[in-house]
Amino acid sequence: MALITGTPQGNLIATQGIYVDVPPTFYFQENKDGSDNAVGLLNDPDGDGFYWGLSGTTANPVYEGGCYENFVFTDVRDINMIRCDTDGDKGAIQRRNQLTVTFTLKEFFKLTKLRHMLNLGPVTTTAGATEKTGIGQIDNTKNYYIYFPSIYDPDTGDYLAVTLFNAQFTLAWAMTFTYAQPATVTIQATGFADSAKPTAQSFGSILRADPSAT
Amino acid sequence: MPRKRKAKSKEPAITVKTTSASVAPNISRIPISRIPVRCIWDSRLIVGSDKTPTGTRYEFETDQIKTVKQDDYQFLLEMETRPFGCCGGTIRPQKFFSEA
Repeated sequence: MALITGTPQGNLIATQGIYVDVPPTFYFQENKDGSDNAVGLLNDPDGDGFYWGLSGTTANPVYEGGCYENFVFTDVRDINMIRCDTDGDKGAIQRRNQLTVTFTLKEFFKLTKLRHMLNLGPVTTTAGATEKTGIGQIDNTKNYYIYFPSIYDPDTGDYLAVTLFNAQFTLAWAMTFTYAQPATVTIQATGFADSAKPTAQSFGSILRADPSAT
Repeated sequence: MPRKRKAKSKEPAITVKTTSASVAPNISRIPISRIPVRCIWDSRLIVGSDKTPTGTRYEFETDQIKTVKQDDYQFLLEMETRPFGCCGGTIRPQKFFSEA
C-alpha cells in the first residue's frame, strides 16, 4: 500500500503477503551409490539449469526424517570488514562456508534411517525379528542430499523446497530421555559446497512452486 | 580266427553306448525349480529358516538378485511387516520384487 508521502519513486516491487506457516518435511539420500558413482537428483538439472528434488532408488532410497521440533536452517559464512584507518568500514568480504540444518528428532525408526543421522554402522535386518547396527568409527565418505519442502498452501499445493547437494551429519549427538515425553536426539546436517555444480548453486538451491509467483 | 574274436569284442561296446541315454535319470540330481527375486529392502536382510516354507535360510544385500526355491518365491514376494506408525498405519513395505 502506497504511503501518501515517502513512497519511493520508479519501479517498485511490492511484497506478496504470503506466509510460510508450515514447517518443512525433512528428507535425505546418500548422494553416491555403492560403486562411488553419483546418484542423480530428481532434476539434474531441470530445463532451466537448476538442480533440485530427490528421486529414490532401491540402492539409494530417500529417507524421511520423521517427527521433529525446532527446525532451523542456517547460513554460515565468514564476514570480514574492509576497514580503512582513514574512512572506517567501507564494505565487507563475505564467503559462504556451509549451510546447516538442525532439529530435535523424536521419531527414531527405522534404524536404517537413524543410522545415517547418528553416523552408525550398516544395518542387518532379520525378517520378523530384529534390526541391528553397530556403533563404531564414523564413515567420513558418506555424503548426502538434503531436501526439505514446506507446503504453505495445502489447497493449491504451493511449496517452498530447499535442496542441499553435499551434506554430512555432523553433530556429536545426545539422546535425551525425559519423564513422560518421547525420547529426543538433536540432529545436525551440514551442507558443503559441491564443486561439480554450477558456482551459482554450489551449495544448493531453493524452489518455490507457486503459480502466483508469476 | 583271431580277427573274428576281435570284431565280436567291439560289438558290446557299441550296444552300451546306444542304450546309455535311455537309462533312468537320477531324480536327486534334477535341479529344483528356482526363480530369481530382487531384494529391495534398505539393509542386509536375513530371512530365517523358521520363516520360509521350505525351511531355507536366505541372506540378501540391498538390490541383490538371487534365485529362490519355487515354494519360497511367493512367500518372499508377499512377505509383510507389521503395520507401523503412530496411528495404526497400514503401510507394509515390500521386501522383494520378482525378476522372473
